[in-house]
Amino acid sequence: MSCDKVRPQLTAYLDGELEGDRGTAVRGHLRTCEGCRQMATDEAALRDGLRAMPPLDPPASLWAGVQAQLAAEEVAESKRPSWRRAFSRWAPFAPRVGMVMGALAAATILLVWRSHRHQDVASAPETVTHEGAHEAVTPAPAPAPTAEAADVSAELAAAPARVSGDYAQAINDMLAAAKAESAQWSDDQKKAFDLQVAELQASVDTAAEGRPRQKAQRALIRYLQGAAIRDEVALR
Amino acid sequence: MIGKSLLALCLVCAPAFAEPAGSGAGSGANEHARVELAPSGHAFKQLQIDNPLGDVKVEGYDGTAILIETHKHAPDEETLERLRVSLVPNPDGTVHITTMADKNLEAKPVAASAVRIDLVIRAPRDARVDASVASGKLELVNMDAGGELDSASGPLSVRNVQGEVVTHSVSGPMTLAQVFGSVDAATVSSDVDLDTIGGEKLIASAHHGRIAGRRVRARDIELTTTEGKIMLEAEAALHGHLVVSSLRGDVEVHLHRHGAVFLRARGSKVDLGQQQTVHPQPNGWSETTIGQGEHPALVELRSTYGMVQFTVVE
Amino acid sequence: MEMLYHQFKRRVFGMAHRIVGATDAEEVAQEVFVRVFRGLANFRGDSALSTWIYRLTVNASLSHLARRGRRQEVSDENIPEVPATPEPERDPGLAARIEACLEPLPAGYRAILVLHDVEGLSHEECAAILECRVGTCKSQLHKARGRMRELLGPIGDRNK
Repeated sequence: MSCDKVRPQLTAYLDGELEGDRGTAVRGHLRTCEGCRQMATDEAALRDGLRAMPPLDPPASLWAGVQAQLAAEEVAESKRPSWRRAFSRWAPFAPRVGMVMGALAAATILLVWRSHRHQDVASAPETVTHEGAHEAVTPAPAPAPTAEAADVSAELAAAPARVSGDYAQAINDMLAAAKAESAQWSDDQKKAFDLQVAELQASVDTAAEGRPRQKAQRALIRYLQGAAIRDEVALR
Repeated sequence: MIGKSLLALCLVCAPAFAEPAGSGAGSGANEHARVELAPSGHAFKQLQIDNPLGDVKVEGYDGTAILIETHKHAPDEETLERLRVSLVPNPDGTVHITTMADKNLEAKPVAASAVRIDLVIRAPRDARVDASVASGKLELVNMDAGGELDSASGPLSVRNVQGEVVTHSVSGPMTLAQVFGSVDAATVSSDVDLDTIGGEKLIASAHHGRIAGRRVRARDIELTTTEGKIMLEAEAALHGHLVVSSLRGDVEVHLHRHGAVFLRARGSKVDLGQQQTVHPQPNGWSETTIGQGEHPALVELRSTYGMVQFTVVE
Repeated sequence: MEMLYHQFKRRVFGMAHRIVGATDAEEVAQEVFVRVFRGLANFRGDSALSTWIYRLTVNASLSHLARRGRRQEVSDENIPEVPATPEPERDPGLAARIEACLEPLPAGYRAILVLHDVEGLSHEECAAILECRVGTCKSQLHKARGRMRELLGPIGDRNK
């Protein structure tokens, strides 16, 4: 490989982005070419020097300046007539809205949207959300099954087995689905499927209760989904 | 070693640093505490958090210390005393944070649903986070080194995170927004919501739930459900792969195309848009090529018993 | 709002400092944060929040340079000469030499070096910030490092 082919690849090589044969070829050239090797050494040192540059702390006056400027702009904004405020907010976003219609109609829609957004932002002062809807609105978590004598420490101890039970139910569902689809498979595919399931199930059975078992169960569920839905039964 | 023990003790003796414990507004006993863990020598590289008793929120920031707020609730003071937070930093830069409830055979049994420990943690943005909850909420925000999040039934939320992100839950709904890197999200019986996902890889699967994705720009995308619908708005990447498949759910994909796309689809009913010239294959697949260029993105859409709908967004 | 400021202040200020220089860094950083807080309500999540903020930072820095007129986008041919090998007794150390050699670089090269090498952002994120293709970013990085190497002169260990 010649120098003029190697040098354009040096940056990628030094950053570990050249895979397989290309990386090997560059490495081989560097062993024998002093010029390219010096260039690589210099670039690696430069890169490391850049990486080692320390983070810079802004002066305390920066935050004060930001607040002052925001406050000044708000005061200036409040003195403008409301129709001009609406128009200036609409104008930069017209292409995004993608509508060619009257300025007043668009401003009305945008004003309604912005006031909705401000409520969302105001209601979550410490978090930054977009669209507002992503604050998860979820059903209350299902209460843990209670028994008169059950104590929190006993419930915590039993929780991993309960989760494994949920995963086991999903595995049973997927096995049934895969079996239903297997009618279209060849004998070889069926054999490969049985072997793979047996292997993955063995991993589940031998895994320690808790997260290791759940991880093995998830691997089996993924395999079963691939087999049932995409006919992906090949042995791994 | 002594330092570690002291730190573990620190949180056991948390009331010494806490706001006064007392009855909450309604009933029961509450305690709030704050701990700051500063790095000694090594930066913190990884947080491992296990909280089966409540919520976990981890938020990244530009500092080097770990700041932990704990909020405990119990029906009475005696039970409150049993609730513990253990904090163990290791020399390799890993910090373990675990919650537990001590056994107390002499005390009246208390159900898990009656007690709570919520953790709010601010951590250096480049620390990786492995966290698990049971029925509480798990949130990861503004972090740059990815992590693995596990929930049983609690909702799981990842927002503005870079790196390799793995999430799994049994029945807790998942929301991932502004995640850049490599994503693997799996759930048994809840929905997966994806918004603004980019990077090398996105794999998401649900057994009984639905998957909805918007502004998805990963190079390799694989979405799979058994029962639920899949709705995806994505961008096809050069050399990319997009595989969306369901056993019984409908598949609906809207694709922003920047180069050529080779599309194949199969379902109980297939609608690839009127503009496409479709070539039915003997094996039941419909195939078409959209646009011109080398290295087309490969798009495969399939639903065994549901409908497949595809449109190109130019 | 203040939490967001503290979350991003180092990176925003650091990027501005290394692109526009120490004198104007605070002014540019202030402009960026004002734009962030004014534009936050309309942020639609087309990118990660950090990507959006860094994009604002780079654009504000480059615009500032253009307005200031002290440094225009120059081609490789007419970059002013900087001594390639400073006298050893005046060499203040590699870090300081690198900082000094950032200044004569074209602004675009400075930006990619700061984003990728100093701040450690990935090619994909740099491309999102600079609104170009990943391939273009990689090529710019290669050229920027090459130009910086020429300005710095020999820096690696010759005995390796």
